[in-house]
Amino acid sequence: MTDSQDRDPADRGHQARALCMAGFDAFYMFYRTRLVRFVKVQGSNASWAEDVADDTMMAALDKWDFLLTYDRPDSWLFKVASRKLRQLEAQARRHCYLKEDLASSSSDLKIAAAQDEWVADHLDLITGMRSLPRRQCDVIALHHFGGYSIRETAQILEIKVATVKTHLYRGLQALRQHQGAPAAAGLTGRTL
Amino acid sequence: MITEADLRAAAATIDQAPEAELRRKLSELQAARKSRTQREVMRQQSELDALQVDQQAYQEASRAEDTGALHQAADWYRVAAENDFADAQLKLAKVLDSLAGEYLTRPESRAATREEMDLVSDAARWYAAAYAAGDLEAAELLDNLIARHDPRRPRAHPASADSPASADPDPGACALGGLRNVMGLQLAEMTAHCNTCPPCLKELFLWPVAPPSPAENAPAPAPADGSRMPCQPLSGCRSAPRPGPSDPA
Repeated sequence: MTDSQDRDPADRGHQARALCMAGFDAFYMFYRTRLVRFVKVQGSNASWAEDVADDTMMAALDKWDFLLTYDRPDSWLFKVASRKLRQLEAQARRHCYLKEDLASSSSDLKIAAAQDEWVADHLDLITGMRSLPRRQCDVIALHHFGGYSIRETAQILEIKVATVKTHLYRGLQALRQHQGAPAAAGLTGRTL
Repeated sequence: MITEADLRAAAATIDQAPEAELRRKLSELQAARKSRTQREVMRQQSELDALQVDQQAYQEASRAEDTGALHQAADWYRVAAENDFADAQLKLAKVLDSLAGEYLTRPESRAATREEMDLVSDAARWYAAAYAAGDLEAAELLDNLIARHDPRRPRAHPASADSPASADPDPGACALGGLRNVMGLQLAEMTAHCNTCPPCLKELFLWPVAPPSPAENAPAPAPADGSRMPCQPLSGCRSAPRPGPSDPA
């Protein structure tokens, strides 16, 4: 469990504000890697992760003075990155160039694993996460990797607390039944 | 099998990266920010604003839905659903489902059937999208939608054989007393009247088989068996029915 998960939400908020007060550089150094990997887990295309994270960090720097007034500047970061990713994917899906089949996801993750040791170490987990429906993946990623409470996760995703609990329960159930990284082609749960 | 212990292990190391690499990325970001053109700044700002538009559209849709303005709610939910915002896809599907449900009690007509089927197919598409995104209740709602809107179901007819004028919900709105009276006019007068009288136009459009029998002074009475009046082809007129605007070619 990460430090941020060990603490209660008030402590994490205090930590995020303290990082903000220390300046953008400290904020960036603390959240950048976490944000990139969070997007890699959520998305169908790991190559978008760096771009989405950099765009989000750039936006954070642009409105840094505003972020300093937020209770949780870090949740703004994850909210914007998550929405940017989903918007990109929705556009790609509309234009039929989003590859969401299992074979494409598998090859995408192999490339990502070659570039990022963390992905290589947790390949099976990330494959399982990516096979989940989007909402379940979002909730698990925010709760476990972002370190947000159920209520904070609901606020970030703009959904009800009960819905977050349902997605979390179903997602964890599905992960328990996940049978390792499959090699055969097929359709993931995300594919319509 | 993946357990919560695996999740915790991954979470424990998710922020581990070489500091030198991070510093290099930070320098690149700052350099890229400084070298942005005004156009790029505006593009990035508009992308950020677009994210807020989804949220505002969703909130507007919720307000419209609460006040019963379902068409307006559908329009706003669609803006948010197109960008996969929160559960807008499911909400949009439910609103379209409700709008399609209004046609269940309406009299049968080709236009009404087409509109109903358009709404049903749109709702089905968004239910399917919501299901794929993880809203599992969408599957049951989709099944119910399809079962309710079976095209072969018996439908209400717009009028009984003995009172055809009752197809118009408000015949009094017509200055001439409804389509039955208008049918007694000369063709040019009838056409001119129908072009300016929405109730008559609507009644004419909804008529299932033939227009109402004209008044006694009509020049060409309708057949007594109620069948469609024979077409008197003009030059260039084809008797084959034309496809509607949304019919496949």
